[in-house]
Amino acid sequence: MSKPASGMRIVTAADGGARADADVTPQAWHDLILRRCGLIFRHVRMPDVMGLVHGQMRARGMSNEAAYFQLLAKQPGSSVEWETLIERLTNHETSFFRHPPTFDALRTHILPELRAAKPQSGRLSLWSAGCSTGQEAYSIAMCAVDEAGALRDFAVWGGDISHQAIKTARQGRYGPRAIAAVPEPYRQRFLRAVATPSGTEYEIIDELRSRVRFMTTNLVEPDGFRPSHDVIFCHNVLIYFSPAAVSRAVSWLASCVAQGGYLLLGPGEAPHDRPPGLEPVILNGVRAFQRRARSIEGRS
Amino acid sequence: MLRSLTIRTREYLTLGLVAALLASVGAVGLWQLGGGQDARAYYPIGAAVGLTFAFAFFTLRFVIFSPMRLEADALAMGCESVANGDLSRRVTVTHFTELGRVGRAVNRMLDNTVPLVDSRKERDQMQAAVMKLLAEVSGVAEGDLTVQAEVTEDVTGAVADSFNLMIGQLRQIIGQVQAASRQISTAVAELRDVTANLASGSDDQAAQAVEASVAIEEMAASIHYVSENASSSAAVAEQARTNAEHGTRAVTRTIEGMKAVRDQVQETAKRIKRLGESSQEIGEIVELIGDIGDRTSILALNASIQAAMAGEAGRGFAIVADEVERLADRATEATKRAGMLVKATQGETAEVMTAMEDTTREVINRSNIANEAGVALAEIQGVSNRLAELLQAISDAAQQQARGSEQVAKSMNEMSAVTRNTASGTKQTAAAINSLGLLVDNLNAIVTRFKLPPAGVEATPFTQPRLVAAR
Repeated sequence: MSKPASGMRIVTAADGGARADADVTPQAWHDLILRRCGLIFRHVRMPDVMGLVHGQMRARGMSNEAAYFQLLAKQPGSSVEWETLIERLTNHETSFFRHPPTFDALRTHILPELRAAKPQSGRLSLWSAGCSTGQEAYSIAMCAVDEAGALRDFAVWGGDISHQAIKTARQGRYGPRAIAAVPEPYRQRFLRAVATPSGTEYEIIDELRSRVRFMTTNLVEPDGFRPSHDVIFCHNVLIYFSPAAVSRAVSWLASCVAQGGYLLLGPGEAPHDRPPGLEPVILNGVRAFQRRARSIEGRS
Repeated sequence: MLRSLTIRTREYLTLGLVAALLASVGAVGLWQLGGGQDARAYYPIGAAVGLTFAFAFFTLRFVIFSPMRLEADALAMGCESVANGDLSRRVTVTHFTELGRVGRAVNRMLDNTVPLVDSRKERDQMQAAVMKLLAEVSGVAEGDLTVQAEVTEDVTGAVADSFNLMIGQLRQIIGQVQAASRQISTAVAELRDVTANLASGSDDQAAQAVEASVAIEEMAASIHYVSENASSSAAVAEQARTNAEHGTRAVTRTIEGMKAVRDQVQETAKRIKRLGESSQEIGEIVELIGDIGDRTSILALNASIQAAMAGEAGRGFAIVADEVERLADRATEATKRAGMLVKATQGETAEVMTAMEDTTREVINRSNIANEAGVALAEIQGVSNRLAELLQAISDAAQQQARGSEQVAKSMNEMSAVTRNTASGTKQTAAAINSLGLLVDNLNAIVTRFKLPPAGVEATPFTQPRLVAAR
């Protein structure tokens, strides 16, 4: 109900915020951030957001908020300044096997089906969109190895907007609390304990790590390159986007799903509009969207 | 007796004795040289020695040790003794020569002046006593508290006594300080452990608080998303309700249209029925005309017979009769055709009637179905209404939750800030305790410089409650 109203404010305040030397309101910042990276912040979060913005401003050695606003307003979302700010604004919460039914569906339904459908030489491509610090991507890889018995060739891609998160993900090293969610057999098979000055940490074994590649991705402002993936995970990412950004992101994700492939969104993250070209299916009680093998590739 | 002799007298005596000894030795030597076997040969020698002794004695007694001389010696000796510091000594007056008087005068003088000189002696004695005391207690300066000053009869005795008392108390105090600083050391060590634990614990807690606040923020975002979804689902349900309403209206119009069709069909059926009835009448009329034709034909036959009987006269009449018969035949034929047409019409009318009845039934059926559709749509409308209400409730609840979780997230953020503060506070405490530890170590180093008698000698250990005792 409040959406159209805030939508109206977006346009007006964004215009207002662009005016020089006027006092920059939190709303103006809210709208600028929304336009550049699609991230939406509720009003109760705005004081925190403002704190983060001011912190970034001071870190850059600036004290004039209006000037900093102007600077950011002029730069594209892919600029270094925005990337640094996004680092501060984004939430890196994630965990291994976060929504177990989805991973069960992946192991027991999706992967066997895709393996049966793909020709022998076909290489499965799985994508964790919004992978944060990599736990989801590694969980997918563990499932893939477990299901295929490491016989089949597959590649897992992890993408996130945060460079810092990607850096952590590439390292593939996690604390004891983080790995608590990994099932014991997987822990024995895919993790290696490493002693560090701050205590024991766990590292993803090289065989698995070599199967997972990470890169920065902006789901709201994707670059021209459109990859094709057999399975796309996108969990707990859309919840931070404005409705318009959700539609854009879902359309783009849908367009990246290969023939017969699946798009798996987080529970409770169903978009308002069905992802274009995909059909909803229920697998193991998990809602997924599939591009039917016969259907004509939709250009959205 | 020897004391009363002057030094010179003693010298003489000694000389005399040495001379006598030498004389004796010389006599024994001569006897030996002489190889004397007879004991009587020694007598002269013995006599000589005795004489020598006697001579020496008398010389000494009456020449060398004359009363005058003795008194002078006594006077000199007494004065020398006094000069040497022995103020208790007096001149021994044995004779009453002039010198004896001098000796007595000296003695009187000494009696009068010696008390004056005594104070100096006392001072010297005190100085000596003080030096002794100082030597005894000098160890204290190096921290040796085991020393004990000797308590003497003289003036310093009291000082020594007080000093011993003081040292005793100092010993007690130092003992207590040592015990206390040992306990503080232990306590500081314990505190150090505790704060180290606390510091690492609060670091952990801070990290966990950050994790929790991040997780709760994500939960808040998720709930908000659900709330917005529920909100737009409510809008969709509202749309469905509106659509169902439109459908119901359309169905109602359809039913009305069908009713109109049924009415019209029934009207048409009535008219057709009437048409059927009219054609029945036409049929009857045609039959009547047929009858008339038949009779005319018979009349014409009769007329032609009559004409034949009339012969030639009736020839013209016969021609007319033939014509009449032909006309009658044509009339009969026409009526037959008309009758057939009327029958066909009647059959078709009956078929139309049946069809019309079927149509009417069909229309009624369709109307019933449309009615059912209308009822179903009305139900859909109701369900959509209910759905919209429920979704709105879900949306409201989710919004409430979102607000709540945002509050929780905010509190968590504040909490993690507090925890961070606590962590840094704990670190500061740890640092303070470390420096306290250093201070106590210093204190320990200082107080252990004091040497105390073995434990148990001075039995008043410091019994203060422990610093980190419970509560």
